[in-house]
This record gives sequence, C-alpha cells and structure tokens, in this order.
Amino acid sequence: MAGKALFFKSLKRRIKYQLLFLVFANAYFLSFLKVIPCPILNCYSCPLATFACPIGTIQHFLAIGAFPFVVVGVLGLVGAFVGRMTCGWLCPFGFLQDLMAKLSRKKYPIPHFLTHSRFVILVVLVVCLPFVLHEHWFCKLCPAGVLEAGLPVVVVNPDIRSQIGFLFVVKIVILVGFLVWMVFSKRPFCRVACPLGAILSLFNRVSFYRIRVTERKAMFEACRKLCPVDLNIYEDPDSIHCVRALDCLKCPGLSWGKRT
Amino acid sequence: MGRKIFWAILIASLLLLAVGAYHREFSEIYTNARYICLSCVGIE
Repeated sequence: MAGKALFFKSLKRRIKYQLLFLVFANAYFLSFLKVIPCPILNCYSCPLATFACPIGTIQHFLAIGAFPFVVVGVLGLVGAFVGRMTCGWLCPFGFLQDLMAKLSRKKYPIPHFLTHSRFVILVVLVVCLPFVLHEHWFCKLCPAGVLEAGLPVVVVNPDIRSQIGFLFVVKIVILVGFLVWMVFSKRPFCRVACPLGAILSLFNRVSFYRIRVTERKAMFEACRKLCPVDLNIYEDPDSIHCVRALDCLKCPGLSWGKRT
Repeated sequence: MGRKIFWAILIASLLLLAVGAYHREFSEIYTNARYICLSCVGIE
C-alpha cells in the first residue's frame, strides 16, 4: 500500500491529473453527468463514460438540423479561460499519446502543413457532412471511438459483434496507424486530426491564462524536446498548436499567468 | 485588447448556454449520449 502511494507521489503532476481524469471520465456510476459535454476526446458510447463527447454531440445536433448551443457555450467557456489546456492535462486520448511516445526515443517531426488538416477535418467531417447527410461522419472514422467504445462493446456484446463489417475494419486500421505513429512522433492525432483540438486552439490567442515569455533564452532546442507537441514556445507562446501541457515552464524565461 | 476579447467570449458563451438550456438541449444531449452510437462502434 505504502509502495503504491510512493509510486503515485513520484509521478509528474500532469500525469497524475491525466490518470485521475481518465478514471473520473470513465467512472460508470457517474453516467448521469452525460448531460455535460466535456472538452476531452472520450467516447460517450463506452458504457463506462461519464461525460458526453462534444464532437459527437455537435454532429448529432447538426444531423437533426439544430445548432449545438450548449456545446459551443461549454467550449467557449473553457477555451476563454485556458485555451487548449484540457488537451494537455485531461484528455484520455492525449494521455495515451504521451504514454506511447515514451516507447521510443527517436522522434520524427510532423510536416507543418499537416498540422492544419485538423481544421479541414473539423469543417468537412464534423460540420458539413453530418449537416448534409445526417450521419456522424467523424465518429465513423474516430480512432478514439473504436478504442474506447468499439472494441469494449464488441467484446462484451455478441449481438453487436455479429453486426461488425467493413467500417469496423477501417476504424481498426486508422487506430493501428495512429498507435504506431504515436511511438515515433509526438501527439500525432492532436496535431493532425483532432477536431476538438482545432476548436479549442482558436482560443489560445485570447485566453485569460497564457504562457508568457519573460526573457528570451537561447534554449530553443532543449525546450522543444520537453514540449509534447514539439513547439518552440519562445517563438510563439500563444501558438494554436500548443496544448498548454506547461512542461516548458522548466525552461528559463517562461511563466504561466493571467493575460495583461 | 486580449482581455476585452476574453470578456466578449465569456459573455457570448454564457448566453449560448442559457439559450441551449431554454431549448432543453441538456436533455437532448443526455438522451443522445445514453444510447450506443453505432457510428462510434463502427457499425453501418
């Protein structure tokens, strides 16, 4: 028991939050909280899920021809205060990517042009196709959905297992592709494909709390290695690519505080 | 400037939440989230 407590104490503060929120977001007995869309990528089809997925909820409302006022309000509220911080500290799929990244020291950079594709995915798969075709197109391809809901539901439910087909195979291939990519690049899903990150990243430049560069130091490379999304934070502390993990605060000349 | 935009987003977000609550969106979100989303699982 004491050993377990000591192990938990030794973990980094951010990992503790990610671990605790992974349990909280999949607590089963708190499923009455599914009334709240939480700004993390945790599939609400998982029987254990505590919250509603904001991306799934946006698609649902657009598919029935309604505007998702509550989801946009919640994302605006969270984004206005901390920008993309929930990606870095609470998102279970982000946590998985951080863990997978620890499997290999060798990291390959992601081409810059690919990091804007998440906005295309947001507009096409989350907004346009569900509105026009009345189907949840992002959910059909979401690797987080197949990992957190698809696989567990298929394992425990024989009726659903008998219905799986080509789409399930496509989802598994996308998931495996991202799982391999996670080992060799830092947070590829967050940087290339996450529509929730795309929405929240729009608030990074205006959020109440932000990273401040108090003194420019020539430690770009060392600091970039600490960053979970491979950013040179000295160059642009309000970058839309920043997940506000705050690992960079170990570097000199950086602080976290209110926008002045 | 940054603070003004923050306050504008904050007020707009609270207004959106109020409009959503007025339209009973919370119950729609709950109803949608309770059922297994076949797209999420990977069934056409």
